[in-house]
This record gives sequence, C-alpha cells and structure tokens, in this order.
Amino acid sequence: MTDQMTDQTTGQTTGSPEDDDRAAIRDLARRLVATTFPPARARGVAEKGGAPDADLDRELAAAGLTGLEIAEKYGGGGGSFTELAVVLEVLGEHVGASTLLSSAVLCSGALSLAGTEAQRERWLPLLAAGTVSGTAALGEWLGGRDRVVATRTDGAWTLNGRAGNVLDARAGRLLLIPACTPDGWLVALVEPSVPGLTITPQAQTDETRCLDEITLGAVGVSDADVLAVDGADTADATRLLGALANRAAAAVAADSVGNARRVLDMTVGYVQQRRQFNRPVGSFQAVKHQAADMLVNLETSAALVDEAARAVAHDPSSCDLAVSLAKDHACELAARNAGTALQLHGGIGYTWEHDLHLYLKRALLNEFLFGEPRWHRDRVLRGLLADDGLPGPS
Amino acid sequence: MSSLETVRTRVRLAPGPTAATRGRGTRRETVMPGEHAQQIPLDELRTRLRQWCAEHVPHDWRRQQTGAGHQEYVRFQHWWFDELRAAGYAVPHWPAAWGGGFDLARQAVIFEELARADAPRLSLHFVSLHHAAGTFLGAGTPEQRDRYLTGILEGAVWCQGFSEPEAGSDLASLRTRAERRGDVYVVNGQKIWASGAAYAQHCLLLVRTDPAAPKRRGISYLVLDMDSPGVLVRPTRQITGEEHFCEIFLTDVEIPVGNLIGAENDGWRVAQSTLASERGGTMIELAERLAVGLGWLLGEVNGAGGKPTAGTVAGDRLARLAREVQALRLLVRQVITRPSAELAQGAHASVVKLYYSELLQRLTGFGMELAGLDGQRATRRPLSSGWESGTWLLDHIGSWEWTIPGGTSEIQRNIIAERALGLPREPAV
Ligand SMILES: Cc1cc2nc3c(=O)[nH]c(=O)nc-3n(C[C@H](O)[C@H](O)[C@H](O)COP(=O)(O)OP(=O)(O)OC[C@H]3O[C@@H](n4cnc5c(N)ncnc54)[C@H](O)[C@@H]3O)c2cc1C
Repeated sequence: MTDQMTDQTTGQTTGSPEDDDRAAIRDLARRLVATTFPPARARGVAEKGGAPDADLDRELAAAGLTGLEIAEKYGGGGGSFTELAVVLEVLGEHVGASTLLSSAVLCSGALSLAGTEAQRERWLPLLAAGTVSGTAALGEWLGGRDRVVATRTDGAWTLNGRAGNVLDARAGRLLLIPACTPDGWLVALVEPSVPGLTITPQAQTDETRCLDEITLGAVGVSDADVLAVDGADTADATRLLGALANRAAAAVAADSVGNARRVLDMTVGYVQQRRQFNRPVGSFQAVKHQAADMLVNLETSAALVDEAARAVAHDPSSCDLAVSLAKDHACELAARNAGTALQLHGGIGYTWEHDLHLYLKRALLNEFLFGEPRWHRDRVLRGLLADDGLPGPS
Repeated sequence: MSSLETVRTRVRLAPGPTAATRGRGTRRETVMPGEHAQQIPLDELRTRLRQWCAEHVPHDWRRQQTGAGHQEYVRFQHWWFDELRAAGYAVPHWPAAWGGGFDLARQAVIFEELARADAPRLSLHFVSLHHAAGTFLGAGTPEQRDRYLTGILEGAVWCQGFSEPEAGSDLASLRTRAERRGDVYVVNGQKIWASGAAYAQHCLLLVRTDPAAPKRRGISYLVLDMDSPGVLVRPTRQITGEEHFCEIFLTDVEIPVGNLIGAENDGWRVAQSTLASERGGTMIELAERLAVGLGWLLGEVNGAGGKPTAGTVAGDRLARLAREVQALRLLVRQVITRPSAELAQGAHASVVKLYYSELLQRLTGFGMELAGLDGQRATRRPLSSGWESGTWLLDHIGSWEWTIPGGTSEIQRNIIAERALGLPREPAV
C-alpha cells in the first residue's frame, strides 16, 4: 500500500520532460536504496558505530546517481540539482547512511561552481565514479562558533583553528575548509593526510549520519589548492560559501521530506493494523485527524522544497529566501510529524527495536543541520524586508 | 404573506437587475474575451491587468463602503461587477462561449493582480459566479445553462439553500420536503445560513423527494425563484454585526418541474458540482490576498519596533507565516502545474481549504496581537471587502467564516484521512 501511496504524492508521471526524468530517477533510486539499504541495515550501521555505509555509496555511484549533477565531460550525468534532490529525498525515506550530501552536494558542487580546470579535472571524475568522496566544513559560515583562520606567509596560506560538525569528514579524501582572511573568506582544498590536520569522530544521537571535528595546526595550503578567495574588492569565496549553504540546506530539507513521507506511510500502516476496543485505532478520529495533519505538513513541505530545489538549480544567485523558507518549514515539520508518529505508535514506537527512532532522530538532527532555525528565519526576515513582502510568483 | 413583504422591504432595497434600471443597453458591446483570450501571453495579460486596475479600482472604496447601508452595498457590487464584466474579467473561469475561456494559468494572473491591487471582492455575486455557474455547467441542460448563465452575466444574484437547522455537516440528512403535484413540486421546510439570500433572485435548493430511500438517494436539486409565494427570508445577525446570511422559510412553495437540475433523486450527485466550484482560480485569489496581508504585517512589525529578527516573538511568528503563505501559494498552483490525479492523493481540495482557513486564522490572530488593547475598540468593516477589513480583530473573528462552512475543518480532516490515507471511514448513518 505504501508504495502506491507515496508515488501519488510525488509526481510519478507528469507532463514535462523534466518531471518525467525526475520520476525515472526516483524509481531507480527507490529500488536501489530499498535493496541495498533495508531498515535492518540502517540499524546495523548504527550498531557497528559506523556510518557512512560503503555498500550503499558504491551502489549509488555505480548507478550514476553520485555523479548525477557533474558535467558529462568529467564523467558525470550532466543533470540538475532538482534531480539530485530527488535522490536525497529517497535517501531520507530510508534514513540512508550515504555520503551523497557531503560528497555530491557539497564537494562536487563546490568544484563545479568554483574550481579551476585543473582542480576539476583532478577531482570531479573521481567524485563522479565514487572512488573518492569529499565534504565541506560549513559550520562557521552558518553561524557556528568554531573558527579557522588563514594567514598568508611566503606565498602560501597557513590554516589554524577548529571546524566542528563536519558531515562525513572521516570518509572524505578531499576536505573543503573555509577560513577567515583579512579580506573575508578563503576556501581551501585539503587532503586529510596533510600534516597538522586531525579528524575526531563525534558521537551523534542520530547514528545514521556522522559529524566530525577537524582541527588544523599550521596546515599549509598552496595557491593551487585554493578553490576561492575574497580579495579587497572581490567576493568569490563568499559567493561560493553562500551557494554551498543553499545547496546544503535545500538538500537536508529534501531529506526531511523523504523522512516525513516514510514516517506517514509507517504510521498509516500501523494504525490500520493495530486494534484496540475492537476496532483499528486508525478509526478513532483523534488518530485520523493527526494523520491528516501529518499529510498537510508533508504536502506543504514538499511544495516548498520542490520550489527551493528549482531555485537552487535555475536561479542560484537569488535563491536565499526560497531555500530558507523550505528548510525551516520542512525540517521543523518532519520532526513534528515524527513526534506525532511516535505518539500514534504507542509503546512499540518507543523501543530501540522499532525503526521509528531512526527517523525521529534524523529528523531532529536535520532541524539544526546546515543552519539552525534561527539562522534561516533571520534570512527569511531579511529577504521579506528587502522585497517588501513575499516576492511575486514567477 | 404580510411578514414576507415586511422582510423583503427591509432587506431587499435593491431592485432586481433589469436592462433598464442597470443601463445595460449601452454595454452590449463589452469585451467577451472568448477563445482569443487564451492566446494572450501571460506577461502581457499581467501588464494589462495592472494598468486596468490602476485605472478602475476606486482608491477610496474601503472608506466609501465602511458603514454603508445595504442599498449602497448592493449598488456598489453591481457597479463593480459591471466594470469587471465590461473588461472581460468577471468570469475568467467560465468557458469561452460564456465570456471566459482563460486557462488556469491566466485566471491565476487575473486573480493575482486583482488581489494585489486590493480590488473589492464580488461578494454579492460569489454564489452566482461560482456555485450556480459550476452547477449548471456541470449538470444543467443546455436550456438551463443558457437561461441562467445569461442571467448571471446580467447581474442576477443567487444564494445557496443547502444547510438546515438539523442538517449541517450531515447535509444528506436534510428534511425540506418536495412533493410532486402535476408539473410543480410543492415545497415545505426551512433552510438556514443561506448567505446573501435577502439579495438573491434565485436559490440553489436541496430538497427531499423520496423520504423512503437511503438518505443520499432521496434528494433532488431545484432552482427556487425567491419571489415565489410562500418564501420568507429572515436575515440573521452575524458575529461580525452584519446581516448577510439568512433563514429561508418555505411554505407550500410551488416550483415548476422544469426547475429540476439533473434527475429527480439525483440531487446529491449534482450538489457535488456545486461544492466543487470553489476551487482553482478562487483559491489562487485567496492565497494572493494572504500574501498581501503578510506584507501588511511585515510593515506593522517593522514600523513599530525596528527590524524584525529571529528569536523575537514577532520575528519568529512572521517568518513562520511567511513560509506558510508561500506553501499555500505553491499548493494552489499545483492545480495548474500537475495532473489532478496526483494532487495530495486525491484530497487536494480538502488540503487547500483546511490549510487556507486555518492559516487565515493564525495570520489574522497575529495581526490582532500586534494591535494590542487599542485594537479591541469597536470598528466597522467595509462591505465589499474579503477578510481584509483593515481591522485585525474583525478579520480574526471573521476567519471562522472559512473554518466552518464548506465542510468544517474537522470534516476536511476526515476526508483527508479517509480519501488520501485510506483510514477507516466514519460511521455512516
Ligand atoms: C458564514 C457562514 C456562511 C454560510 N453560508 C451558507 C450558505 O450560503 N448556504 C448554506 O447552505 N450553508 C451555509 N453555511 C452553513 C455551513 O455550511 C454549516 O454551518 C456547516 O456545514 C456546519 O454545519 P453546522 O453549522 O450545522 O455545524 P455542525 O455540523 O452541527 O457541527 C458542529 C461541530 O461538530 C463538528 N462535527 C460535525 N460532524 C462531525 C464529524 N463527522 N466528525 C467530526 N466533527 C464533526 C463540526 O466540525 C463542528 O465543529 C454557512 C455558514 C457560515 C458560518
């Protein structure tokens, strides 16, 4: 029942070619993730203490989904962010412990946006093939407290400081480290083996994702490994970081939409089958109405996230408002839906054995990952003030 | 009969529309966009609308309509309808043959621009343009369509006589009885909450023709002429102080059998076309009006205490409302961008209605909070406006006008849970 239901909400067969492509990608991703990464495996990952799941990443790469957005000349699929968002949503449906967000959305995205030809040629084919994964440390940019400082000595940069909550750093062979300079920002390409760099895995309550801390003690970066840097009158690095933050926030919002979709399916299935007082608990209106609200939350989130993904893909320089509206809404409501689902499952939902906690914990993490609610709301308010209200529909 | 006359003269101050009294003779040559309207590029249509609104929306209509009497309200509504009709914007959602023919995307442009120009709403004609038209287009004979749609274009006002004192959410339990005698139905019973009935020339009437049949199968759908003998209309004062909805008492009222819409005892099905008509373009306009309202709130917060920021109560509320209004705008546009089958698993209309009405309640409630104690002073609402009276308190109180009729929020949640999610149905009685 759940599959059919899900398909209807997400636009399996619509008129436009873009929608048809997205539907095909969704089908493919669903089949692949469901077989490679069943729920038992999600719990297994947690118990082994070790996301990301290498098998899942291998399968995604082999199917061409990791490189979906990378240009064809670097071995990618030449697709758009709206397609990548579909895969992210499917991973959300399965609490997939994959590096797609860190590696494809952040690392490959940054190289495609700002890399020199040499940097792209060196890294993008490896990233597309999944032989290498990478990530970016966006915490400081997104209002975090950690600092990395870059100083210029002898024609090269030196990085010192700390970056916490970096997604999948432990799995990355390429780290994008933003650092403050006297003129603004610098984004450096750093390999984890470089002297002076340590990665300390953080323990997270959501065990399907891993966040790590990176410390840098006099890490040297040559100009060839600078991805972008602000000058006295230029803001290349600032622009890049802004674009990456939008990609990350839209991606995590898509994950939350997938999360909410699966949580609703699980809940509807459960309340139909669980009987008390001689009838399915799903026949009680108090239960039905909460389920109806979950659907409304899901539908409004999906609408905003679709729009945000489109804006990131087609209008990257002015997508801040669309992204923050979607991130704040979808992530908050997915967490709320997961809480409602827990309530409607009763005691069984409160067990470690049931899958629900994987979804609840991930939805809760998503609410704070890549911009806490406050950061996004401030951006929404600034956007509203600048435009004198919500911008007109396109 | 004399009480009928009293009630009529009290509320029916406006004469029924006739060519002579409304000066239609000179207006025959008005724009009927028809098929060519479909071809206008969206941008051009938007520019045209913007210019038209700038030239035609009276800048002081709110002031004029505040404290206006019934007569002034009715006169103004007919005048505004004529203006829109002459420009070709009164019935964009109707088929081309009837002066519409705009696709949904173009309807959206028209409704958006009217909303952004803060144009008056056609509240007097609302049932005529949507419910009545939707019914005849969905279930009327060609003759009925011809007669009644023409009448509506000439300004005829309709009301909807569905609810009864004992039949609200459980509409199918209605009791107003119609017995066939020769070529008339003889109708006895009572309707309640019929919006605008005191101004109406016609009423969409649901009656029971077969009391023995299961409750949905014994209902028929009739057109009632409001000046028929035996019809008594009594306005009910509403929570907002106005008298807009009415009781309708029916005593041995004779309705010609030719006024039957659809087949006898098939009225429940016909009523679905009536209820389905409040969708599409109308919802787009309502969503746009909310976006305008959000802009007002932003201005109020910004003006009062400096720039709103997250972490303050007002800033957080505004940011939340912004994402909700934007979500609603995107949801209503899905009707244009996606095939209907996939929309919210078949419960799209219910999702939109529920979300809109409750969002309106939150948004106006926030406005009321901003206004504080001073906002509690008595004010009057300008007629011809939607919820946007200019007074958040009245707007907030008026927001229940959306969560109660047209299927209450509770009924919408039942529909969503049952239709979209497949949960067990409520006990059918
Ligand atoms: C401003 C306004 C304008 C109106 N205009 C018109 C009009 O023009 N024509 C017309 O015919 N009618 C009109 N109505 C009537 C409107 O359609 C009814 O008020 C509405 O259908 C609810 O019926 P009721 O008032 O009898 O409430 P009830 O049905 O008695 O409901 C009372 C409460 O019980 C709840 N309830 C009822 N059944 C269920 C259930 N199965 N599950 C859960 N909760 C339930 C309701 O949600 C509500 O909260 C109008 C009403 C208003 C307020």
